Amino acid sequence: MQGYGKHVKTIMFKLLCLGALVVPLLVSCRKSEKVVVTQKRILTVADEANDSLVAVMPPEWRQLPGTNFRILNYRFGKDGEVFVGRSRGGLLPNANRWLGQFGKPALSGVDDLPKVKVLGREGVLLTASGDFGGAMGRPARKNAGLAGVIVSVGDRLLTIKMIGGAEAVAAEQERLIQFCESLRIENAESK
Amino acid sequence: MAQASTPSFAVKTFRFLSGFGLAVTCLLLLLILTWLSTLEQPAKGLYEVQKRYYDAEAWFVVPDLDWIPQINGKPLFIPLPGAYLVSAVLFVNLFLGGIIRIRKGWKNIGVVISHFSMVSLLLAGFVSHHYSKEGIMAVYEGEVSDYAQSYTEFTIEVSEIVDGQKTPPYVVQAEDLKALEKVKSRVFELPDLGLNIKVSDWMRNSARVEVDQADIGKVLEADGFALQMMEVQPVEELNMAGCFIEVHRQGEETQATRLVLHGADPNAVTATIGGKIYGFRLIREIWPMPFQVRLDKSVGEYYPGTTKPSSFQSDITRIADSSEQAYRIRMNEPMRYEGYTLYQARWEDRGERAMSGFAIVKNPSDQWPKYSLYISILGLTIHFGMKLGGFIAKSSKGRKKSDPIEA
Repeated sequence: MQGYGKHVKTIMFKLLCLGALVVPLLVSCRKSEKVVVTQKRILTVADEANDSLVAVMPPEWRQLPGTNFRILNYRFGKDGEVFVGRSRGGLLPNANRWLGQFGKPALSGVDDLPKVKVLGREGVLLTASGDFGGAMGRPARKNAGLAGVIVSVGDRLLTIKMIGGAEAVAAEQERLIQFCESLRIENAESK
Repeated sequence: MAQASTPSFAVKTFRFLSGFGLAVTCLLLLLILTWLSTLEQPAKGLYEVQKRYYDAEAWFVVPDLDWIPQINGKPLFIPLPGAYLVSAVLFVNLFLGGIIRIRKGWKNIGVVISHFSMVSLLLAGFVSHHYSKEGIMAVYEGEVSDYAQSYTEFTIEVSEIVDGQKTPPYVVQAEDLKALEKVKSRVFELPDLGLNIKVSDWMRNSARVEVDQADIGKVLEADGFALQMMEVQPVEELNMAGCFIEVHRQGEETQATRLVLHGADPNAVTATIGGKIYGFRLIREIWPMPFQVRLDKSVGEYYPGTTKPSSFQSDITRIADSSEQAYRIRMNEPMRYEGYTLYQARWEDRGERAMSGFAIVKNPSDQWPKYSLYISILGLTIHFGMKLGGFIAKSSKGRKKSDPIEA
């Protein structure tokens, strides 16, 4: 019985020794719920444009995550949207598709539309206001506005489209044009 | 007869911590843990197994294998101490027993040296675990890169955008975000920017989805985007983290802006707070290098009839401190510079331009295992050399004694 008690004592003693070794490590690893962040890193090549298309966002807009159809995706005001995408199918069909979303009659040509310089090319500026019939997952909406630029780049189209309340879009139109004119291609293939 | 005095508590502790029993126990546990982790790796992946078995915070591990017996439909709970913990105990044991307690003398010098090599090997492992870093640098032919990126660790970067230009970002470190796998949210204070960021709903693997207009306000979303949890992949590089953040100026908790961040988004999400524009991005940790690498030429060969590269090499120019140095990096022939080692890890031929991927490792104890091995060889050579010499000397003495005396 005495031998058994001594044996238990020895085991307890050994566990105590190991515990004394381990507990300080345990305590030091507790995580606090609040962390103060002061560490910065320098800018690198990684901070340059990820897409070949580079844009300077107006400070009045917010940048959002892109989607499959929106290379660049912005918001302005209460619920205004601006997005840059790529499309196919010709300038005129795309222009008429946008106008059709506002119930406007189709155009027979784009020559009379105002021009905007984008990536060294001439794009066309489209505007419309009225009832938006819904598209791109957005619901129908009354008193909506459209301002957008479509330009041919190689065998595809670059589209810059602004949608929102009619007054908000009209107020942002000048800024949209400046944004379009500021677009550039990062890599050497700029034509 | 005088009674032997009972050893003191300190002596008993020392004897236990420096004893053979503890050493053998630790070595057996390490053997078992290595075996079990190897068996788990095919199903769980290297990253997960390293985290569960070998991480400094893995105090204990419960093996998760199909053949573990079950009781009432649940696998038997067999907790084992984590490998880091066992290695720490073994380190103490080897130091106390193999260097301090061991009988010192010329006869034992080889054994002492060998024990020292084992202690230094464990120390190398400790330094590597806590202070080493690795990432991947991808460069196209003709281009320059000055950063590497972590394979697996996500950080949140916050930068102010001034006149359309991004300023150097503040970085919420990956180890601080890891806690979010266990807690619902965590607050990060950025005193230099005067912002508080609450990160919540962290998902280790996720997809960012657009929310139907009809569901806005019914699900957790920001700017019409929500996160969908995805199954965690065994290959950690395939997992894309996502989270929500609420940002506000310090002291203005009621005016928080909610944003959704996803690891696959190439661009930052911006918010205007207090009249200033900030960009927020969830991105695999960017690790700036103290030098630039220009890829001058990248050459690779494929295995015949396949698109799998068999060998590749890169001619680079290392640019640092206004000086340039040409270098050739091949498989198994890395470049070393100021504690950084660049290995040729990947190669792709994208038609017009080739791309080289360099695995960059910074490990202060990079060469220590090699030196430990040399020390171990020295110690064992000395010890067994002395044993052999002693044996030969003893044998020849014995032969001389038994030789018949000539008349």
